[in-house]
Amino acid sequence: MAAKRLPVPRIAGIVAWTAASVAWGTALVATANAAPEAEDGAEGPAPDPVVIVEPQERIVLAPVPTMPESGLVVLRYTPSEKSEAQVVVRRVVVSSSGGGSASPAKAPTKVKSSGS
Amino acid sequence: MTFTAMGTTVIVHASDDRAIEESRVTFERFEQQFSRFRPSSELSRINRAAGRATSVSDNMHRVLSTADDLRARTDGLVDIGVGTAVHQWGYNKTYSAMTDLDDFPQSAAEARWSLDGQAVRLTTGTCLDLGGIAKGWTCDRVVEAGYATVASAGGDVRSVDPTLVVEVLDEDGTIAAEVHVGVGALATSSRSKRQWKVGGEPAHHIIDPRTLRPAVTPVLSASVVADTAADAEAGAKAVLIRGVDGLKWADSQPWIRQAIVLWHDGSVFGNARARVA
Repeated sequence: MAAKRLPVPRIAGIVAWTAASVAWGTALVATANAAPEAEDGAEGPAPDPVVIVEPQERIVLAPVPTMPESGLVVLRYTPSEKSEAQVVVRRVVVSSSGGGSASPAKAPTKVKSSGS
Repeated sequence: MTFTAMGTTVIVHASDDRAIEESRVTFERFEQQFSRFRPSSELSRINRAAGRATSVSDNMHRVLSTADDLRARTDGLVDIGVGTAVHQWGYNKTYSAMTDLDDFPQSAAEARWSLDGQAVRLTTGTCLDLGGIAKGWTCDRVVEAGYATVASAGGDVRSVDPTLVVEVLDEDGTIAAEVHVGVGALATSSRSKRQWKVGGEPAHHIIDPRTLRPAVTPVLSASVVADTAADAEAGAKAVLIRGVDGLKWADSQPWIRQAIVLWHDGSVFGNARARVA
């Protein structure tokens, strides 16, 4: 019935577009199925040779210096991971240097030293 | 007066412009002689001649004699012969031009050098790095010549000013301690300055001659007061490399007047001779 109403070129167009749509859909489904296969395949090949990672040398830095013979002066004590700028403690444990020097007559000259 | 020389900032306290100029010229002259970055320097000529004896100038001989003496006094921990290791660990150009290294270097050859009369002999593969010794020694020359009352180069200070107080600085620039130096010298050796990365790990320029690698130490910086800036420089470096025993060792050395360390956790310790404010 429909064939009687539609011209042959029109029917041929419908057939061609239908075939193209089916081919496209088939390709789409195939691609969707292929992706998990690829992922599964990643586990398939033989594993890389075992790499032996040597443990990194772990160095524990001492919390305080070895006590000098004449004693240790603690100018600041900040037992933490990070340096603190503020003075926490200032105490003299031992002092063998005796009395201080005479006060200078004029304001002291100052320079800075932070290493190079 | 401030100027730049030997890769660092130099400060001199002098009475007049002529004395300041004499100080500047002295630093420039010795930099030309002692720099390992200038191919035309006397030091570069000596390094290129490794493997055979090389005659040296009077000033070079004085510096090398001082370095030889300080090597002995520090039980070999301060050795100018570690230049090859310094170079291999990446400090092979001026600090401002340095870049990180991807890989750890091969082990450097053991450093061997000796003085024989007016000549120096380096074994093949040895390279001298006068570094801090040259800076301190030059500060000493400028002050002893009467050009300046105080000369400071990159943390090494020499003074004939009896009132001199040196502010030892933290990593962040705050004052860790004020040290009474007066007539004498103070030097600070620091592993937190001049840092770069090797194989992703932080590296620094203080090479431990025992391992020929950057020193592993709980001391971030060490400051030492001595008679001369060259002595103070070597003392500070030895205290830093010795690490946990550094202050104890400094206490046993009569040529070290005071010693102060900035610890890895930010604490600040001194030996009992430290005269700090």
